[in-house]
Amino acid sequence: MALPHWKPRLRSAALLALSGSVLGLVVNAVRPHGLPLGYAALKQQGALDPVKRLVGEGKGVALATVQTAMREGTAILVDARPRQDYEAGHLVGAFSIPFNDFGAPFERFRRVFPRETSLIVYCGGGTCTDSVEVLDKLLAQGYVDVKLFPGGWEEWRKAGQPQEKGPDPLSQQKEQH
Amino acid sequence: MRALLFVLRLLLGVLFVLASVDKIAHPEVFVVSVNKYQLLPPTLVPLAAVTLPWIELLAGVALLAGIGVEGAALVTTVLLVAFLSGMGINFARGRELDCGCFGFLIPNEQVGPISLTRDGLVLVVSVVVTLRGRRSWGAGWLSRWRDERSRGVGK
Repeated sequence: MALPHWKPRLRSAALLALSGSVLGLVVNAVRPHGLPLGYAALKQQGALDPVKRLVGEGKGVALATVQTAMREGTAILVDARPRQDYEAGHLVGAFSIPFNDFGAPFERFRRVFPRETSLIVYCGGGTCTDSVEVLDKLLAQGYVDVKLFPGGWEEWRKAGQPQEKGPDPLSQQKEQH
Repeated sequence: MRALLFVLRLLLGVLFVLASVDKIAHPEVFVVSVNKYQLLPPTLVPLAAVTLPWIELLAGVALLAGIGVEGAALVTTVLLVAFLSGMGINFARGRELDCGCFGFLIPNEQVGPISLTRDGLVLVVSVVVTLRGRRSWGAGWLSRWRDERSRGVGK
């Protein structure tokens, strides 16, 4: 079976792939914050694990800090998990701002809590990085004191700490007209 | 037909240029995405994160410029097959994964039926342009120009 035109296609494709690779490597070498190419080095820096990176920056908090926040109101807790997970069980007093539905819940939250409010974001725990995404978005929206609880729901539950069920309190309020 | 191919060629080009921009701007974020897919041997992860976006960009530019269109579409086809396989495998593993397909443009897009279907459709477009792209309006102008120049010199 004749295969017309495949040689020129393959030639252009190879040229493109090659130039792209070279360009990428050159740009990376030259730019100020290029990516280190060693996988081991990256892993060590915590560059591949957003949670580890934040903890390294001092933005992680331990269970004890979350307990204090809950008891004394020193920080507001934000649950980054999907709404169904939140409603099935969450840390007492936590508000729901799901990573996969940030907009409306955040708007409700923003109206109540000013940018200086201390926040602690959590998600499932373990390998979950949804809390990082919500944290980054909160920072981008102007919140200045946002920390992470890496242990998340899993650690909290296993430690037998206080939990509650049900919908997000802010979503239940009727609009005032 | 030539008009339709033109539209498809441009669409594919725009998609790939847009997809590449954020990955080029933030390699430190894209490398996390690539690593999460857990499909490449670890040593290749940073290399892929650094080279893939530029390959996407060049392919997109070539498609838009009408130069080496079918070769560029062959590159996008191969990339799409790789992405779809990667997404499919992880979806089947039941992993909740950020697609990472368009970076900041569609942040937090999960790998799932929607992204899989969308990329499947783009793959179909890419195959069509690979096979017939030379017939689209404006494609191949550079080689035609070069042919005419060499014919002119020969006279």
